[in-house]
Amino acid sequence: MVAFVLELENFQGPFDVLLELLGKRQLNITDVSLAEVTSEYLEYIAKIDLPIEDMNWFLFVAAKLALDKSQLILRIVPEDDEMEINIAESLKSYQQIKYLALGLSARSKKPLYSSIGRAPKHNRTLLVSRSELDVIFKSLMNYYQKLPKTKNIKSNKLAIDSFKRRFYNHISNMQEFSAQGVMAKSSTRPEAIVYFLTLLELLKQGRVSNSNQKFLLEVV
Amino acid sequence: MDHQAKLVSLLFYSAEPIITAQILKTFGIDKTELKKLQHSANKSLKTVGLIIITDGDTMQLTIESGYSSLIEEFYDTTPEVLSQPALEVLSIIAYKQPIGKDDIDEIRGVSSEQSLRNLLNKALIKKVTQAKFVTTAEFMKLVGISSLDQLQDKNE
Repeated sequence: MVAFVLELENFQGPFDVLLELLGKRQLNITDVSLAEVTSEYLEYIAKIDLPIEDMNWFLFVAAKLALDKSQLILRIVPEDDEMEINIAESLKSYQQIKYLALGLSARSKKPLYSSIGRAPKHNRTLLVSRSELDVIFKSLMNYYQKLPKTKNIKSNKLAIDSFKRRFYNHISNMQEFSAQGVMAKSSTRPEAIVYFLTLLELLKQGRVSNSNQKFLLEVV
Repeated sequence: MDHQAKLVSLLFYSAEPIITAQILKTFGIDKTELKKLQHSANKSLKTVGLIIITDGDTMQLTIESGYSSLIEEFYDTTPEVLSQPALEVLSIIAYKQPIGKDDIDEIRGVSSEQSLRNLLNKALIKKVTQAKFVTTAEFMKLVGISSLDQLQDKNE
């Protein structure tokens, strides 16, 4: 996140440093224009997407500083210096917490992982290997050849080629497709078989890749 | 069978943290002995990239932080990323636990309700008696520590 950096008349630097200097009394609150600080803060939040809780913290600090400053200007001496102590302590605590949060954030980049019972599938492992795909393809081809020769299929090889072409044209226009979706396009059983065989052929040739590792099993 | 092997076996079998009291009862040992057992087991486990962590109430067998990038690459996973307010609240709880919501709000100067709910949902903190919050074993896994003593400047 981009730090909130101030360009005031008598202070230039990060807001955190300003608070630190005020907390350590190295800078007098009466020398700081809170109106300018607020104005620059509004410009700052207009440029970035700041979480609402961070904005709340600025309001809290600004309100405390405004109270402190007004008491000093009006020479109102608090009955005890509780408010001053609170500002200094609060700023110190908050700075410390921000520092610790940074440490935790750095640590969380190297977490400890534990068994999650059942490991997720390694995304680079294919459920169906190339040799298994070969076996499936050959057995389906075998099955296809043993199918009763219907008049349509027997007499019209061109129709099969046309189905294949139509199928390929259909999926080539898509980045992704589901096996079920394209199979649903077939109107007859032989057509569905041709679609499926074409799909296997394309998988084997590496012209399509299988991102849904379940579909082969589902279809088979 | 020695206690060390028994402890590792029990932890290895469970994907969830095991309640320390159950281990103490099963082995018939006290907390100090269990701490020693954890220490000696961790020495042996280091060679195989594992580590036993404990938040006092529970124990869990995890993979050493040195292998986190391997796990992330292999399983295509990413570590949990917390928002700045959530990290601040978590830091306050980690270093000042047990601590109540009012004290957390006082330190931050704003309400921490949303962040607390978020951290509770992620099981990084839990509520204990008198509505105070403490960190959990899940928190220790997130920040890669096996015991809360490993948090630097904890008592400052």
